[in-house]
Amino acid sequence: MSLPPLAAHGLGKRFGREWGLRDCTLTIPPGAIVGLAGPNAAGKSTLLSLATGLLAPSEGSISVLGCDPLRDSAVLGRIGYVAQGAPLYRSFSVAETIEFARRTNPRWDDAIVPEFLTRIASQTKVGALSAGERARLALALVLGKRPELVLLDEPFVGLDPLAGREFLQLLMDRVAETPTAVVIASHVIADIERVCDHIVLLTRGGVRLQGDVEELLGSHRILTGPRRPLGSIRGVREIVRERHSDRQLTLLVVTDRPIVDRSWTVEPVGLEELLLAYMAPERPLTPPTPERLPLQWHG
Amino acid sequence: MAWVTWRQHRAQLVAAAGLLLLLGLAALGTDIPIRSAYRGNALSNCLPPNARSGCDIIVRHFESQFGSWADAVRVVAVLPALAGLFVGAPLLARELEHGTHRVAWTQGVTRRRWLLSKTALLAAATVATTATASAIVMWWRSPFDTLEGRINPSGFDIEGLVVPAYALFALALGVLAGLVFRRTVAAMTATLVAFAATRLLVLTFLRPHFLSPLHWSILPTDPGPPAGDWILSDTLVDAGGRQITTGREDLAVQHAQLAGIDPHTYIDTLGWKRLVTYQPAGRFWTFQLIEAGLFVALAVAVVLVTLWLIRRTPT
Amino acid sequence: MRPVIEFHLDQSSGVATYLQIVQQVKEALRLGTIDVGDQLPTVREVVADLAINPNTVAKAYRELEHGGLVVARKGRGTFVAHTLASASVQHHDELRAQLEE
Repeated sequence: MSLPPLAAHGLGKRFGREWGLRDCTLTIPPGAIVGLAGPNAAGKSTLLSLATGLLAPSEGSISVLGCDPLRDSAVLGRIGYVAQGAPLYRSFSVAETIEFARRTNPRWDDAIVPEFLTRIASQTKVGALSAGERARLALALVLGKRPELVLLDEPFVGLDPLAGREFLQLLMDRVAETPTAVVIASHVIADIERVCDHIVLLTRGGVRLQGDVEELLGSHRILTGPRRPLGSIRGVREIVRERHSDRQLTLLVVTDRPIVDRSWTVEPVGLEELLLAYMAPERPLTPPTPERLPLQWHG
Repeated sequence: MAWVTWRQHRAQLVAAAGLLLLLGLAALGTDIPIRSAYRGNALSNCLPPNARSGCDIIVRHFESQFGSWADAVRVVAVLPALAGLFVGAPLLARELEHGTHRVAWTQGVTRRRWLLSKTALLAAATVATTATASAIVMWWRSPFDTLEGRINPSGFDIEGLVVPAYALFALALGVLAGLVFRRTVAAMTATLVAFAATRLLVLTFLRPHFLSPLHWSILPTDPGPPAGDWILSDTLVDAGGRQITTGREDLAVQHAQLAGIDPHTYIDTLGWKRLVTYQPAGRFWTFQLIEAGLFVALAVAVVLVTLWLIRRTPT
Repeated sequence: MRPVIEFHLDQSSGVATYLQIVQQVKEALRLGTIDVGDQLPTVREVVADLAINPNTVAKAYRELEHGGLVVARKGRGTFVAHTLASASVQHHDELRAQLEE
């Protein structure tokens, strides 16, 4: 039974009086490509900083590859991390940046580097590179050390669509060759929807949702129908979001079995729509108990 | 880490080497006229305590001729501070300011090892540079040292073991300041203030007492203490041991002048004495060892604090 | 050598990615673009082209294999095993039967 690449339990981080992250409990399965989603200031960057030992937890614990990143900081040699903005030494040339990675990482593989540096001259200063080129260089630095876990914090910010696509192609090619767990933090779902098989949704209140993407999409449905008082619906375990116009009611629900109730139109829900619904600050209550409201649905 | 340290600090190291070269060339160039004047005037025959008549005129002439150069050399006292400001302070401050610590501290080198390696390598370079500068100064100053001694702060602070020791301390301070303040300019300012304050405190309150000062009670008419010792205080005291204020001294001189007597003889008859507190020139190396040891110990303590703090600092 | 078929992904279609790949293989078979014995692009090739999860490609190929359309040869790749010719005839029969109801 292999260790989860990343696991947190009751993790919290306070900055002064504000909590940047609170009550965060999650586990990512081995080899998963995880999308870490959530609005800005949800704590995604904080979580990744805690995972790399750049921050110390205020409460709870976090482990990467089974190790405490602060106590067993040698584990950082097996993890690749690109912080927001892909920080690099701007006065270094591209070749010097690679040399830096070579010298500070015991397991370094030069062979993978060239495919990341196409169309980049090795003498170019990092400060002169475009955002897309810097992102590729940062990715090369991370993947060249043959990590078991890759953490990317908002890698697509500032990248044009082509550069973003190229970035993902390089990353996925590497993952196809050597199974690696990847966590991509992004507040734009469309960017990560292509590649993620696991999702963790983080909001200010903690982990709102986590799970396998296919399972989540398979277990949620959008129900549309004429507006009526809500009872319990066969097959619906929980109502995530309720919307209505004058005449129409739209529900996003978790199902535990197929819904056969023909008074509802049942449709699948897209990932972005699903996450947005869970991000909403107020979530409605589960349906009221039958005694409180007359049941009125068409059987 | 040797390559990384060199690549990140090569501008500073090259500048240091350049400064050293400049110092060496200046020393070489200015030394020739000094030595020839020294020999030409046979100043070696004027060394205390063998002062023969006419010597003090020759010595004063020599000092006025080259005194400004000797003063200029005192700029070497700035070198240790430069190590702290331009090598130590940017080390951590620059990384934190630009966010590159997120790259530096997430590789296969632990944070502590990263810091220790860099600091050790830069410390070695700093010691090598400042020790060489100190050696150059000692060689250049030897005529002045023989004439006026070197245990005085004007010589002590720029010769011997203390220069590298100050530099190590300044370097350590700079690194800690970089961690605490996280901005290069703020760290440099803090380093300068802390370094200058420490040096001043040690010089004013500790160094005079490394070993118990010697006291010398002489008649006001006797010749003063030999040049070369570090005079801590030189006061007139009356027969009861109380210090004579300037007012009282002026009064006595006036009285003597009115009476037509030589003021010095008059003061003798009053029973007043000249009390000199001093550190003898022979204690130079002992004091050097003590002060250098003190600053190296301080440097080590500061580095340990930094190593402890770096794991706890939220980034 | 370029692969015989190149996939494209429509993220907004609402159809799961792996299903889109399955459908595109079936379409290519139907049109005769690919034939028995042709090698499908490797997982790595698809992933490097489309920037998608390798598991998705693996899943698509597994589904095709279960349907008998392709066969995976260990270490060598995934190859077309069956055309849709017979299948399409069966589909026409079914359609006629439904229309006659």
